[in-house]
Amino acid sequence: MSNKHHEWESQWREAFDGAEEPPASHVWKNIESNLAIQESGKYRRGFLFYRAIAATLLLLIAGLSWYILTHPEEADTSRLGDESGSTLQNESTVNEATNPPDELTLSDDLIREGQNDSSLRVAGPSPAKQTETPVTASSKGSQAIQNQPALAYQEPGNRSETRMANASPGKLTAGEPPGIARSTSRISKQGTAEDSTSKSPVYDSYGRPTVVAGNQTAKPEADHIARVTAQGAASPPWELPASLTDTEKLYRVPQPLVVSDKKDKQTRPSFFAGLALAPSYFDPQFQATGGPNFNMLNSDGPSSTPTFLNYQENGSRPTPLPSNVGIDNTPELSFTYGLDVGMRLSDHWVLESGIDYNRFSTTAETRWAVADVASGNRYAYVAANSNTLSADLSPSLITSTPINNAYEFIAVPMKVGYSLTVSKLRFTVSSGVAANFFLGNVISDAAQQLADYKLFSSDDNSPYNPWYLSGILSGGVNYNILGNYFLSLTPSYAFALTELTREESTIRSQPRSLGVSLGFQYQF
Amino acid sequence: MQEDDTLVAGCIKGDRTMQRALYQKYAARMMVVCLRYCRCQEDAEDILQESFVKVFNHIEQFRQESTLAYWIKRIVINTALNYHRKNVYLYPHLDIDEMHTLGEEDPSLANYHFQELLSLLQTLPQGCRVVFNLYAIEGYKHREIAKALGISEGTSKSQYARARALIKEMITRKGEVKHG
Repeated sequence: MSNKHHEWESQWREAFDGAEEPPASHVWKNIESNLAIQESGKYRRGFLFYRAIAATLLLLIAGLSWYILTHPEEADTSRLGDESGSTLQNESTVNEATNPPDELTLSDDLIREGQNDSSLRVAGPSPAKQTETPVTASSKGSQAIQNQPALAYQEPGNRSETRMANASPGKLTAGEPPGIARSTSRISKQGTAEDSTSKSPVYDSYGRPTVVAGNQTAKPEADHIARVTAQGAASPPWELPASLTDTEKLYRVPQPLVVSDKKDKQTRPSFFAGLALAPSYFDPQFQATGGPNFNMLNSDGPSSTPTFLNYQENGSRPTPLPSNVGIDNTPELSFTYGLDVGMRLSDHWVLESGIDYNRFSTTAETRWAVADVASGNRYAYVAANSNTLSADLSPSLITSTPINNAYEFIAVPMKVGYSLTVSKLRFTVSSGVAANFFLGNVISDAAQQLADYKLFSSDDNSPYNPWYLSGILSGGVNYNILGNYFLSLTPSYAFALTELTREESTIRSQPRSLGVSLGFQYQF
Repeated sequence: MQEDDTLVAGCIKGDRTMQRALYQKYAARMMVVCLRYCRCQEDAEDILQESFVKVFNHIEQFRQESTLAYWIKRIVINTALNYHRKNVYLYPHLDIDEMHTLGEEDPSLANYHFQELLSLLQTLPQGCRVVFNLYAIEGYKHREIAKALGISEGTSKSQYARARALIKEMITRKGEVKHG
């Protein structure tokens, strides 16, 4: 009887063997339109992603360009550098005044030689501007100088000339180190001591001539070292000691210290901390590592081994459960909650870190489910949990079911940033790395007909690594709302540097995410 | 008609011309497969459309372990099964008494065109039709059919027996009408 049944079934197969029925023409049109929609969707997703990146970069470039155009002199580093240098030079001047180095001391021979010459000339490199102007007589200390014939000071710069006019020796001008005043008195003492008996010029410890007229001792201005030229009868040039040919020391013009509270704060490292909430999009970028095709109906025909239908016969779970089931994830709106800390290393450089809790959501689809008879639960069956579900559970076909994937991470970023401040706005561009610690993946049915499945890195055969490394690029703006309080807006892009999934897993994942952080900072 | 290799290569690149050529080569045969699993033309066209979209989206997964026609046919059958999946738990069970009434002699199909057999299949209840197609025409075992459909092996057997009984009855009745 069974043979007859088989013959009858063979007749059925033969009856339909080669049978054809042309479909309606609109079927191909529908197929074509579906394909076009899918292709445009792929391009749109990719375009949207890169468009967001481009928009962020344009915003940063526009902000920087506007800042540079409106504040071309903001980077007053040259002046600050000069002042700093001058400040440093002031300090060294102070040190030299208290402990003058030996090289600045004139040898006795030279002093004796100069004493016999009524005119003096200091030979040295010419300044850029040579203006021979008589010394103004506005200060007391310059009274003696005024009486000197044919003696002019050549100032290396206008500032020093003004300062010379306004400063009074022996008095401390604003910001002058006390040492200078001390050096002045020493100079005058020296001058007095040297000059008590003769009309010849006397040099202070820096080699500056103390101008002498009669028995008076001119007290040189304390806040500058000027190049002195002599007019009058030609005289053989002096042979200066090597120390005095040092142009830096000759033209060194001590600047009064400019104390600026603002700059003081910026140069001093400061700390800040804040909280942030970032709406973001996360793409796990799953890829199947490759495996056998979907094989419910085996290519060699039914009953051939192995198929996943008859896996119980061969004793092992067959791999052709497709490795790409549910790996096409669509990013959904997700959120990151962060605690940020940082340190401003200088005016522009900043170091940032913190800790972020990421809860990312994506959606996918599957046509497979497994039923656990013991618990009575049915779970969505996807490539991610295919190896963690019990091998005794047999997958079964279901209608295409949308599933939600929730990924949880704890991220610890470390970034270096460069910032520019414009009034109350601070623009920052930063980059760095982050360690992302995987907490878990919850696979749930959108229609809630299937039970939630939770996947951890510690599960047997879990595809996930406990952590992965990612690179970060971000750029944003902080707005000083009040005092030390700032609002921040920081778009950022993170991309995986290492795999989220294990090497032996059937799927690979190198996630990336894009978010815009809205936060609040306090600068200490 | 172009060779399958050329068609597959073109479809992988997304060449619409090649996709259309592949569709034109196999659509008519697959339409018959769809009609076997469906009750009406509209459902069959929907399944055919969805199947070919899947074919083009996953054409790169075809690894030439079978013929292209067989690979496409598998996709069509799976699509048809998913299409009717919601009815899987509604398959009526065959009464034991009904099973005993089945005769041992199966009517010959020699005088029937495939389109007549198609219309005959389309009159069967949904569950019976699917199981009959998988067992009698595709050649799968009841165990495999049960796993694929999420039913028991007994249900698969009973559905097939019911289908066979109904077919026999309809063919017999039609034969009586034909021959007076």
